[in-house]
Amino acid sequence: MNGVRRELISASLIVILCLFAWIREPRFFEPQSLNSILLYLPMVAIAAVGQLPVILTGGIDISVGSILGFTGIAVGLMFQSNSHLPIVAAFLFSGLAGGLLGAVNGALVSWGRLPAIVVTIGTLSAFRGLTFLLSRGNQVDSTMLPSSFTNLVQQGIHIGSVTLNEPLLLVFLFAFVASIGLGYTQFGRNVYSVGNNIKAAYLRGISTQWILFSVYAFSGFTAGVSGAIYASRFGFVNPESAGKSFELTVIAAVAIGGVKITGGYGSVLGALLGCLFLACLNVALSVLGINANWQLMVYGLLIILAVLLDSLLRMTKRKAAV
Amino acid sequence: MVKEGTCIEARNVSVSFDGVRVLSDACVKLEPGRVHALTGENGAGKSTLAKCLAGVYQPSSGIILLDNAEIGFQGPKEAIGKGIALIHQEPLSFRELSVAENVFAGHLPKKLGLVDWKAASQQTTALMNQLGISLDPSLPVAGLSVAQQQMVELASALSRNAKVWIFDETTAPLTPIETQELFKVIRTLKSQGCAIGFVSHHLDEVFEIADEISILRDGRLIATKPTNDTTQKEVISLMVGRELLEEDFLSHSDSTQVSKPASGISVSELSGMGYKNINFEVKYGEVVGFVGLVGAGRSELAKGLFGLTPVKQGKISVGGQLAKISCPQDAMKAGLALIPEDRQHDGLMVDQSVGANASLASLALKSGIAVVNDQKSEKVALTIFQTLQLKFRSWRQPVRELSGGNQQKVVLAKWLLTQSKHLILDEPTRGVDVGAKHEVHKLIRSQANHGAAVMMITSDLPEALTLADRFYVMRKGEIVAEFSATEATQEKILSAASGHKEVSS
Repeated sequence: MNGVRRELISASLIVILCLFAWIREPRFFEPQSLNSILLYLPMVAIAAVGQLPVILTGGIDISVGSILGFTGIAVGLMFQSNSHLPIVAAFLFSGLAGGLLGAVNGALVSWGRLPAIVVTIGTLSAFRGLTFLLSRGNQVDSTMLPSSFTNLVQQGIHIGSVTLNEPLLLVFLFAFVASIGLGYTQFGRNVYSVGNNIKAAYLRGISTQWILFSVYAFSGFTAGVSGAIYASRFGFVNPESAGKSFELTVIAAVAIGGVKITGGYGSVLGALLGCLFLACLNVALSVLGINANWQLMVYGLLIILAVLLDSLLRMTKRKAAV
Repeated sequence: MVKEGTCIEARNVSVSFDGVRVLSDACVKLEPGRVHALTGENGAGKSTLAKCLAGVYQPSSGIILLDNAEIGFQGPKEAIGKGIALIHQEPLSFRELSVAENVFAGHLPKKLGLVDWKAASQQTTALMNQLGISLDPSLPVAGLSVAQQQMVELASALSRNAKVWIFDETTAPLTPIETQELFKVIRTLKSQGCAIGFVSHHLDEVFEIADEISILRDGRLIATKPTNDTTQKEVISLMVGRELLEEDFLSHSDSTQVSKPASGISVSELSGMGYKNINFEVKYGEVVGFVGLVGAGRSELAKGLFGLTPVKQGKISVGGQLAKISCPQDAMKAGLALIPEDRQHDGLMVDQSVGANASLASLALKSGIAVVNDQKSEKVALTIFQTLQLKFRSWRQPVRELSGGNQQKVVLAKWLLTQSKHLILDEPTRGVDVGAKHEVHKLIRSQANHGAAVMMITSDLPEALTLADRFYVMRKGEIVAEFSATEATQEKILSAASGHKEVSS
């Protein structure tokens, strides 16, 4: 009940934003805007579904932008050496490479007992460096990628002039698996237990270290899949700029989706609504002709506002309970 | 349903932390259908021994035997798997999660590999019925009382079919009535053939529930005695290692002092979060007990007085002066001192050293720039620590390394160092052992005799009756009765607190 209410707030924020944009600029409701929104979604949404369990345990993964950059380059190099590589294999490879980097985070946080923020700030820089080493400073461009790969975002189901692009399928797949995983498996519920009270979880016989390790590895995996989507959507990967500030977008999406930033509470639906909000905002800013430089500032402020809103809501709830 | 009995035994178990031996060569055996109490002062090692049996700590030497076979627990997980349940002093709750999920944390019922929420909720209701309470399984645990959260933990152990139950100071946060509820459950478990360990330093409770009593002191097992063959007095002298004097010096303040007109803390028509229409007065030289059930609004009142929660209306006067209190700094400037109930969260910086914690409150009172004079504050603190019999290695030792009771002593010391004339004590002796409790009582009494006004919130009725000059009984956020020390009895207070009978005062 409580959960539904929190997600309703995120949903109404989206409606308010869209109405506002529409009143200021009626062009906002043209199919082209919707296409832009759908194009924006997959990369962010998949990584947000991965970030969610990390934040549920009370942690944070700041390294996702660098994992995206690394796997984007890796996919390009894979195709360069074998242009007949099946597309599914490319996605899988990219995900596994990301999962490997995520596992490094996971091992340091769980068995190394280091704070997540320190570990992932460290690897944010280290993985970016690794990306330069892998690419030798060169960028992956469209000549290295097969057209069947770069066409993915144009393909899909066409309804009028709206395209449900193929990577959206992956979003549904990840969201479905994560929803079942978090809501209906022992593992998923253990993630919530760890985020609520890690000491209690340990004393109740839950393998907390294994849980912590897994959520970071999964976050890395999703960031890796996002890396492949990045390469396919833009047709090039620059080792320096690919995925820069991406972590900010992903964490903002999760926070706006009503996930408690200190852990223990939140849902896949909430995280997806947060992504949808950011997608709408992104398109609204460009339709309204607002300088793209504002975007980063807006994202930063949004994270703070979302967390503020959350703590205010909790405070009123506590008062009501007294 | 009679379960097959299981017994668990610790043989010559020793435990060391950072080279400091906290338990040496202890032996204890919990047998099916028997309640075995582990008792001793704070830091005696009774909790450590209990945690070894439950796999939370691994002994550095010695062995644990389950049904006479040696067993090495790597962690609590294996112990739980063998049917051993440890019930902690502070409930281990997952606050955002439902009652049902708290009960089944780590072993939710499943259908086709997926969590069966309907079954979880039904089985929770069944377990709650078994414990004789009704709780909505879908409620988030965050809103429950400490006693209810403990019941959730008991239900969890029941759901695992635990055969060995170890209660580690479980009664400490409970009121006398809630303790009796818990004892009912313990007696049922005993009749079903469970082996029960009961860690407590409340000897009344120990003598009521236990079949055998093991006494620990300074990390060593001193004796194990059948309850029928010993007395409280003997157990106390074994715990402390000496005879305790009678409590004769805790005489109530003489009437001349009470009739002194000056009013220390007085409150009129005060309402706020969790309390309403409160009128009371605490005179200088007086110890006034605030009694009632947990949740009666006593701690809430204390928090309101100290500016931790906003006051809706009413007046607070400190030392005859009207005080405007909207934050703890205001309260401290007005001359109030609060010893909070939750020492871990509200009263201590657990990562800081013993010395830093002790001098914190008196430092905060100094205005302007003051150089911290370590040597001087250490000297004053040391005398108080000696009186309180605080066990610590050095000034630099972080407070988190101290046992629970010793942490409480640091909180007490911290506020006694401020020399405040207006003390609000919220459960000052919760978790403090017999010997030191006595010292704390003496300290509180001497503060009053030196002219302090003491407002003492306590759930320990014998303590209130020996120490307080007057009583206010609270129920549902209001003061429902007032007694003088001569009129007050345990029965009168309890019936006023629970609202069973109308009590005229």
